[in-house]
Amino acid sequence: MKTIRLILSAAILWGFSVSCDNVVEMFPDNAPDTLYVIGCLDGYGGMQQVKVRKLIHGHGEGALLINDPEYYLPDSSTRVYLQDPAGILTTMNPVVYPRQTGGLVVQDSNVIWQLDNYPLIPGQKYTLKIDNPAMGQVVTSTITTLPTAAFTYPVPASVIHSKFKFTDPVKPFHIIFTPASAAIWSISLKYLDFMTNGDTLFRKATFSGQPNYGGNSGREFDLPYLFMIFNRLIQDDPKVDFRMFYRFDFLVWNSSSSAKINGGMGVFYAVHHAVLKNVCPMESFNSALADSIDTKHLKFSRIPYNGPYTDPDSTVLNPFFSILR
Amino acid sequence: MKKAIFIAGIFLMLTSTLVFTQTGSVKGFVYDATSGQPLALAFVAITGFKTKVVTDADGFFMILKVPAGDHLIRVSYIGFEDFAEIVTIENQLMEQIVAHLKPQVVTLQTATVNAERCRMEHLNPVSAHHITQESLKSIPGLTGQSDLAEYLQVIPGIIFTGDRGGQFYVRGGAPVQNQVKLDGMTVVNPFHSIGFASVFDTEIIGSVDVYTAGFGAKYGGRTSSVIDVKTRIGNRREFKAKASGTTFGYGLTVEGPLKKMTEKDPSSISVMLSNKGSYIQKSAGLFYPYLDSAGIPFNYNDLFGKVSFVGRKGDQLDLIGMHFTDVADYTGLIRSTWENNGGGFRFLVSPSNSRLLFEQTLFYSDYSGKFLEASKRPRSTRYNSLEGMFKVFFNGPLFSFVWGTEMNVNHTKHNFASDANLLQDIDYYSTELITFLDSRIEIARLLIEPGFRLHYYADNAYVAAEPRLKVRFKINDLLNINFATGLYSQNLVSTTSPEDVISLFQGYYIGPGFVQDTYRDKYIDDKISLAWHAVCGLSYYGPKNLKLSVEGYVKDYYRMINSNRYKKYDLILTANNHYPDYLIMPFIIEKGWAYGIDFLADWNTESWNLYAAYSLGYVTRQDEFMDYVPHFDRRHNMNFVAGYKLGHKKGWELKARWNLGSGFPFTQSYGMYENLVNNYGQFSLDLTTSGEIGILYGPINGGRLPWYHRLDISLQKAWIFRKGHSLEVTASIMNLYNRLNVFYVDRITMKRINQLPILPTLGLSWRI
Repeated sequence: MKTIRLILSAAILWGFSVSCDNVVEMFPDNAPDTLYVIGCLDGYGGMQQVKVRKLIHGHGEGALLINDPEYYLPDSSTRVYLQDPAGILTTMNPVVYPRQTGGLVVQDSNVIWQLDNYPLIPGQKYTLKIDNPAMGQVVTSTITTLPTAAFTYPVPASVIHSKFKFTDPVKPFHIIFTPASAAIWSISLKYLDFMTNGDTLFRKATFSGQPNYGGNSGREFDLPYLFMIFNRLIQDDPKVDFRMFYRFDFLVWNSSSSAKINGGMGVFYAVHHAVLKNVCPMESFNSALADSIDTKHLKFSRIPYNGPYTDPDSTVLNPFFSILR
Repeated sequence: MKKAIFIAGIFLMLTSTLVFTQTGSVKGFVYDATSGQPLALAFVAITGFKTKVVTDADGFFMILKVPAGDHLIRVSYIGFEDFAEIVTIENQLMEQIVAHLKPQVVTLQTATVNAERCRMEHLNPVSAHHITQESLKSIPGLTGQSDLAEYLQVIPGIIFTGDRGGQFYVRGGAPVQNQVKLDGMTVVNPFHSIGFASVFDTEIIGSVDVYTAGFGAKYGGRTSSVIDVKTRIGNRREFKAKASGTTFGYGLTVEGPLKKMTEKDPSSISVMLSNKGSYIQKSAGLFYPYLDSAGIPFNYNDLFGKVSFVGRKGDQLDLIGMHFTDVADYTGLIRSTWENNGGGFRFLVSPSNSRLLFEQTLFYSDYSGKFLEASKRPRSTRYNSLEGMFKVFFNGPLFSFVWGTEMNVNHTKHNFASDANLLQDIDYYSTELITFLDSRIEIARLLIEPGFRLHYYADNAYVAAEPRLKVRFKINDLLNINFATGLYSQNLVSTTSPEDVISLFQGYYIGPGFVQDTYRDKYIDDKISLAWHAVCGLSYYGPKNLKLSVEGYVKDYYRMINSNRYKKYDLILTANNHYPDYLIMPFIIEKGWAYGIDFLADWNTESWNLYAAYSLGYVTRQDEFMDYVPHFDRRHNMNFVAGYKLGHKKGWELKARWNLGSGFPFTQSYGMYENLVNNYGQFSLDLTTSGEIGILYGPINGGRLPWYHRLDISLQKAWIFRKGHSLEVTASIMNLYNRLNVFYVDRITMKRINQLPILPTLGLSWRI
């Protein structure tokens, strides 16, 4: 009798353990195959690029799925067109780039549809058209290109040989740029860390903000504001023996505009930006940085660094990517 | 002669009338004679009179309008011998007695059950759950020790979201909407990262009152529920200690008199110290090598101390201190730490000849937490408050009230990295001024408890006027119909994302800033969360200790402030860009409804303890754009608890708990893609580079996880030795049939992590 009870109890427990469906349905049942498009119109240069992929919703490990060639449309049927304001349709060329590096999405089949020498007319409408007969989908999107972005102060040509005063409390250093609609500026601090183990590291940290000066098209950088930026971007590190400041980079990023992809998913966007590299402060700034009660703990030297500098972010232009460093 | 008799008669009538109009009163405190603990709900009566009152939670009673003369006062309490004392009542005076009741030979179970019957007689049980130390111990102790966090999970209407980092949701209210008090002090985060441990040591708990909705005016500042924990006072007669060790952790409680209470001198000074903690992070490798590589990376340590001064006439001063810490350490991924320190005093006095009892409390508490995630800047939070309260109690037979006034100064500081990885501080002080009146009127079969609370929030310059009402109608001696309603407000906001089903980081914020200004095009001036509750139910307390109840409830959270899931732009970077509030502000305004029906059945005998609770609940939210269900909207939740005492002298106890819950909502992935756009909507210039894997989400909480179920059992044996020493051995198995309940699924790798698997534990405790 005891054995029967034991068997019965074990059976009930087993029943409990396997009862109820225990599968987590990560994707809705009705998710259809969908084109995923990233289109970039860059007013800064003449190269326009479009990436066409397929939205992934298979079951399995995502990192493997996303590298499945099926999601990169290996068939050659996809056609991508860009239509200019005059209505002229230009076929974009599929270019196979080398295997991607960095990020998580690293695949062998790196096809980008692009136009190499295709300058844009600011403030005009361009339409993207994609035809994928294999999936039976046609995707369209229209966007207005952005006005040109540029620095009007300091004048880029003057930066190379000038030193700027950053310590004047009455007239702080400032930047002015066009157009007024430019939404974002960034300031990059370029400096060197001299480590206690003898290593020297080139550093670049970037802070971004919005215009608030000179009719909404500029920004001033008084010393307290600059020191706040230093403190936000640079953390105390006991492994650092001392630091030397090199230069500032400024970048103004015109408000990106983006458009919805009709008939698929993704984004079609226009960008424009301007760069002011290696703005050199006068030595009084280095002294203030080294001696101020607000920044003393960061261990900056009073002497600026004037040697060769390897920009760790030289290939990254978007301030919002560099700020994460 | 006739004339003389007539005059004498008139004189006697007049004198007798004079005698009978001469009245006085009697009041006092009732204690357990062995430990000196106050006895709540003891009956106090005067022989020859109908008037009968019961003691309150502090053992206090008062009988008014007692005719002058000698009277026999009788105090009775189930499980104790009756106490009787002749008291001389003098005209216009208040007599004061202190009654020490000696325990009777009666089983604890019977005593508990009868105390529960007494509660049902005198209180409105609507949405109220009174938990004693004995009821806490009726649940299988998963850590080898019973814990409030485990008991709360079986209360109907309470939803618990998981074994690891799970949180309590009470009838549609989020954790931040639950008020937790420890002897009157607010404990802002009372639960440890491991889901079945609270900061409260069961050994120190006197009682816990849980109100899942419709609570009275003496509670406020939260819009969903109340957990009011009251600790015992240390033993006033002799030193006692309990030491325990389990595969999870340890516990030590020491208590005793610094000045002993005696028959002649009932005044005392007693102390109680408690320390409990876990070493499971280290012991898991030894006892549970089959766990995943993360193991059980939770550690906590809770210290509590209380010194109680009790005067000859029952006046009482308690000094309280606490230090709670918690660490969850998923090495290399997440490290969450918090600590909560606090202390203060509670003073209880009923001056001679006064008909009132006065209570004064003053507490300071300081909660701070840090959260580190790989590749992100650390987040930190702090909530500290100074709470002062003054209460006046009047406890008559048919009418009683408590009036109170309160001042709280709260400070929150939240430090976190914004989307652009910039550090942001949100630092705010606020003062709250409160006055309330809770009253109780008995008219025949009707018990009416009207209340009113005025709560002034200085940060918003907002006065919340909150009427409250509870009504109980006794249909017959066994069956009551109960009702409660009220308005509620709060200014405390959780910085935890509503998307986080499991959140190890509990951050807090007060203040009107950083909150969306408009809700669906309507300007919201006062950034205060507001709610309305209504509950109606039937309760039955029948023969053979069968207790049944059914309650329907609705909570209208008609203004809520929550963490903002739509936040897209950094507040610092976009201050002048005129984006809509819901794209910038860290907090958003929402509305919500919670409604459902709860069933409870409880049956106790000397050998058996059977308990079943079922909840059917619906929770909805409406934000700026859509209606959705929050992640804790569990439709069905069932708990079955059974206890059986067996063996010689019932020395063995077998306990089991089975929980069955329908799946929680979660947001499915609609698809994955290569993401070249950052959180700001800023775009990459070079499409040839590799992006990150982006997730395109389906409708929010549109999917449902599988059902959750789990069976826990424990077997306990106690050996009692001479001089009251005892040894208790508890063997428990959590998740007996090893149900693989889902914890989370990594959307990228699709790797599924489950809740805790089968976990056997062994515990020993030694009591002297």
